Amino acid sequence: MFKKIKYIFAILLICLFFTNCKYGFNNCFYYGSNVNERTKNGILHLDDNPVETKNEYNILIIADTHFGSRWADVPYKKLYNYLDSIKNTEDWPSFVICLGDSTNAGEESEFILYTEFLQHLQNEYGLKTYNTIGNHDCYQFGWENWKEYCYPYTPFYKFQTQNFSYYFLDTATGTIGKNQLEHLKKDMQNDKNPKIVSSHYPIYTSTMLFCLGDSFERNELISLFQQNNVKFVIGGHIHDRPESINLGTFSQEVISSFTYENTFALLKVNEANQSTQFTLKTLN
Amino acid sequence: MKKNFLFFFFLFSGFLFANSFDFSLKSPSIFLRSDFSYSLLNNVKKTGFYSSTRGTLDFSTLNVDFGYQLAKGNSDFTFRTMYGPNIQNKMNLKFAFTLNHTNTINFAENNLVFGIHYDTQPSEIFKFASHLAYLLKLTNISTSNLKIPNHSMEIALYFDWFALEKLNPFLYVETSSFFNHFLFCSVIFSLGCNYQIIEKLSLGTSLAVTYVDFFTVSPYHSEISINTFVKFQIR
Repeated sequence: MFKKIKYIFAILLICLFFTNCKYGFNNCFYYGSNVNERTKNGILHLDDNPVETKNEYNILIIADTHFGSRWADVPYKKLYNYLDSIKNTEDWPSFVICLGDSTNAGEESEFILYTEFLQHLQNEYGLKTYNTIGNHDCYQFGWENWKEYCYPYTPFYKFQTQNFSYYFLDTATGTIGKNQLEHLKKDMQNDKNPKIVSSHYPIYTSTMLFCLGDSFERNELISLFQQNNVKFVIGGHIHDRPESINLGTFSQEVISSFTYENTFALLKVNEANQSTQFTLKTLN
Repeated sequence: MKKNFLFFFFLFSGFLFANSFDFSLKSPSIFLRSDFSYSLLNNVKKTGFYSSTRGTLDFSTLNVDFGYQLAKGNSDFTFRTMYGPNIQNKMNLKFAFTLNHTNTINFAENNLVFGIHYDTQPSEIFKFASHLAYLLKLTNISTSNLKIPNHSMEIALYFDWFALEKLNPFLYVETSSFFNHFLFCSVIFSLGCNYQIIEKLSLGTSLAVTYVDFFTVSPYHSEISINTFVKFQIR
């Protein structure tokens, strides 16, 4: 009897290692790409200013689209309907931020579907999308696809508007990494603008899961943000549990999945008084 | 009725197995251990060389461990105590409490760990131990005096072999170590051995790989370190 239980336990343990076959068996102990390698060239400064001279504007934020998922369909038609319904209203967004996990398993076919979606947003609605890299995008060596398909083809970058700086971090491997943190420190210390930061993994969650697991680097990051005029942090990754957290001098909003929860967010930014107003919305 | 039944069941079991539990304290063995480590793949906490010193008092049913670790820009202090019976000379089941304090210029972090430790030596050449615990992480960010809590858990499996007379290999798989308490589920794999030079002095070495986020099947090796240690039995 005891032997039988031992065998069943061993089989269950082995099965556990195969749960991520779809995402690449190699991912068990080697994740395919390395955050230090991906961010070795430092932060890319984009020349873009998607809001030009506007004083107040909206940003459409979506997270975890998971193109290619067999569990749910991406509700892009619902989003198009929503955008049609708010044309010429004050809710109209100036650009889009996608918080990562654009694809489900990092496969090229999934990136092609995702790119078609972004092209539709650009061509039909004039909305440019700024991408954040997520952990699912890196499955199956998907990083090679991400840097080919997702603008601006590097995961660690920033751009500036009149008064704000927008930072995009690479937390696709559940960590910020030593290189990226050092580059970020240098850049933020030389940039006096108020800042909005996008990251796939939330910097902090009150629970033990779905956030940066190494609390040491998380604390360093929070401290860096507090010292350098970060106003707002947005994160995804969690899917079904949006969370709003005050972290002293800045706040963090965690957005649930666009595909699994039919949600997105609008962030209203006022350049003149440097304020932000966040609204989570559900697609009908 | 159900409550009464459970009460008498446990009371009866207590009497029945009382002789199997040995809570007696023995005169302590005292160990001192110094570790010197080098990080081959640096993470934010550990860069280049770092070292730690650790003392252990072993009263058989009571264990007390304390030590500190110094790395570039940060320091850790850890105190751990475990108490519980030896059961039928076959296994130890102990309640464990750990307090770890991490300090840097930017923040201070206290980790309070409450758990159960189990170890057994089914044969002369093999020892197995495991640890399951609840972690309360309390962080104070100095910049704004922001206090943030986290609730998490810790699991560890320890395998030690005594197949050779003086050379003992070991494999540890743990979601936290004595000085590092991650949020679930980062995993540290340590493979190494220690060699007994003379009766009370041994040297050891290990290779440790730390992975972050096994939970969302995105494990990424965030740190690789080589560790050498010297362990001395004072008494």
